[in-house]
Amino acid sequence: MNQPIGKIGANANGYVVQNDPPEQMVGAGRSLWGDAWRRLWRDRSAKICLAVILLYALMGLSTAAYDLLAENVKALNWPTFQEMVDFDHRDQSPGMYWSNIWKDPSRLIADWRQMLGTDWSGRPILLKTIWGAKVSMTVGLMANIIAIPLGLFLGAVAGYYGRWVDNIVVWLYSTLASIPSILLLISLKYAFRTPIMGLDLSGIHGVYLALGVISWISTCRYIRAETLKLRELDYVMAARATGRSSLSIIRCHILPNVFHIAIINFSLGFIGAVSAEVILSYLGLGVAVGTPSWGQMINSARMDLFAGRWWELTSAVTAIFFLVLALNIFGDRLRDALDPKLKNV
Amino acid sequence: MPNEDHSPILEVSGLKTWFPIHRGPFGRVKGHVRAVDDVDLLVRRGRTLALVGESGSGKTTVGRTILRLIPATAGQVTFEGQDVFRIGRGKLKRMRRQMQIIFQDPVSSLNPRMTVGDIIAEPLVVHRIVPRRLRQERVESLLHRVGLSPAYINRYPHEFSGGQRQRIGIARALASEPKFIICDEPVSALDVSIQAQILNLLKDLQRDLGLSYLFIAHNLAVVEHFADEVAVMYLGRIVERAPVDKLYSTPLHPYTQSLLASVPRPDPVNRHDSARLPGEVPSPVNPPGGCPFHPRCPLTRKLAQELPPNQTLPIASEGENVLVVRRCTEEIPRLAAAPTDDEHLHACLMRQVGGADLEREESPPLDHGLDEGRWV
Repeated sequence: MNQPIGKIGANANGYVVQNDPPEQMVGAGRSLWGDAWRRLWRDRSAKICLAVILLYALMGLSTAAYDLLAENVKALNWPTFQEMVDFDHRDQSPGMYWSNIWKDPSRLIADWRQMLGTDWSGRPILLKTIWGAKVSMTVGLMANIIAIPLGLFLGAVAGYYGRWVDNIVVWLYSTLASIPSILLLISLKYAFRTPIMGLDLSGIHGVYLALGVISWISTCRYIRAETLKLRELDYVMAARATGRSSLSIIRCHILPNVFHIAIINFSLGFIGAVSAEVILSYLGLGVAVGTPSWGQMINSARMDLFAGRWWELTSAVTAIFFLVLALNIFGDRLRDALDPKLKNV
Repeated sequence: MPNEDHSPILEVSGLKTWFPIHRGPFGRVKGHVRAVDDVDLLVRRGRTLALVGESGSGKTTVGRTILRLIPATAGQVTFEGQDVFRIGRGKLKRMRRQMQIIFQDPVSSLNPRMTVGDIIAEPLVVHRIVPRRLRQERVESLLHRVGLSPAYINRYPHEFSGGQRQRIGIARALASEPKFIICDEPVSALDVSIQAQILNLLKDLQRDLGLSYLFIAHNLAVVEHFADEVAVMYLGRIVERAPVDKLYSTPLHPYTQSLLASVPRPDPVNRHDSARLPGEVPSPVNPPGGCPFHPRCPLTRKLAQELPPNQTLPIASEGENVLVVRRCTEEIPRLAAAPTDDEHLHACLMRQVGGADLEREESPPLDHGLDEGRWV
């Protein structure tokens, strides 16, 4: 005998109502965010890239922690990176380390810092490269922390309100975008050399701000375009017909539906910020001289390469290469996972 | 409660919604799309007025203009004695509790990132209808009211079928306890079997809650058993308005006659070549002068054959020259009462000048597989 799977009853109005929904429909639903996360998690390349990015973040965090302890807790007697000068071993190539190991394998552990060679003052390149991650990761993070909310807010407001609000925002970013970004960065950095309203922005903070000020543009463009589309959708109309205010609609209906674009842009904007920091530092406009950063390392290679010392440049470029590659692939995978238009592809 | 009071709840008079067309390097207004042009409507308490027309005739714009979702160009909308276009923000918000809308597209009408519970609770939150602790209870009873299980409260819209989503949209519209709901083609995107369920649900809700509907549709078959009154729209204007039985039994406007003649009948024996209208709907950017229907009107063509040449005018329609009545090209018809009945209004100039009429094809009653007005 056929046993009915779900109880089908009728409510007071006489039409069929499913009193017992199918098993999988009971309880919490699958949100789009949950779906996206599951898609991302199934993707092995995304996981590998995320691991690489986290490794870089860990390098940045641990060096920051080390610096903090070395400077403030004298009892530990840790040398800061600047103090790791060792003129006996200056300008050592990685080959020298490996040939020494060949002769005396016991030094493999003792001299591990020199495995990628040393710079002009004898500081190990390996540590310098690891320390460089701190600057790059902070710049990437800070520039995006400024740029993403700015782009998100301006894009949503411009797209939703239209008219003169839209005109102002579009004019603003078109003007900024028409200036070559590297020139804009340089001029902003020069502008920050004098304190502005009591804020000293001459150092790395100026880099954060300059990068933040120019990199909201692409986020804003994407968000504005998406908002233009969303504001005509029926659920936004329904919210207006219900009597929600415009700001409330932006907060509850527009922002949650454009936020995935901000996340994708965060990942891609990170690349721009990292490379911009490298270029600025290379030009001597980035971090203060002496701070270990990949840009500084490439900068010092101007002299080094002339003398045949290739290892400092190579380490810095390799470090940048893997970070940018990982961010790029992860950004792509993120887009695939989050963009509902690509959901069924 | 069956509402015996059928006084007007919504009155629309002279409503115009024109969209400016910006062209040229400085975005100057170069013309208007006359989406809605001089529309008069009347919805009665507890009754359904159906607004019927082809796509592009401006039906959806009428609905959205009434709710102030699109700014009106001219005209007046009175809802329960209050002028919708002239009240302030606070009053408008209170009025919006009373007027709701159900949309055609069940996919785009629900925010994909909100749970069903949050979607239905939105009007409750905006208008602070129930205290927070009773909110879930209220949402669950609304879900049950529209025939969905309260267990769905934490699910997301993409987990539902089209019909279920439409029920969620109806529950959201009901949440603020409105008196008047605009149904913007609520069943056009659904399967026929689901259409019947949704229509029955709407009908039951109307009976139980005393709702008034403005039911926008392009399908005359759907409207026949659902509406009390029908208004037919063509190119932004109402061409005929009548109680539903009168409109179906004695359509007066030639456009309505052609529409009714084109309803497909599932009868292989009585296969008839429907009087298909020549040409297409003209652009509302540059509508024809006079009666907007004259380039396609079979009546004016027929009458022009019998009139002296000084009363006719040859025009080009779809690449061929046709002879039409001159008056149809010069005078914009207004809705006027038919000679026999006050409630039956039409906007045809030729119908007013006496008995001249097209012989209407005798057609058998429409058969939709209906059983005493309920969809089965």
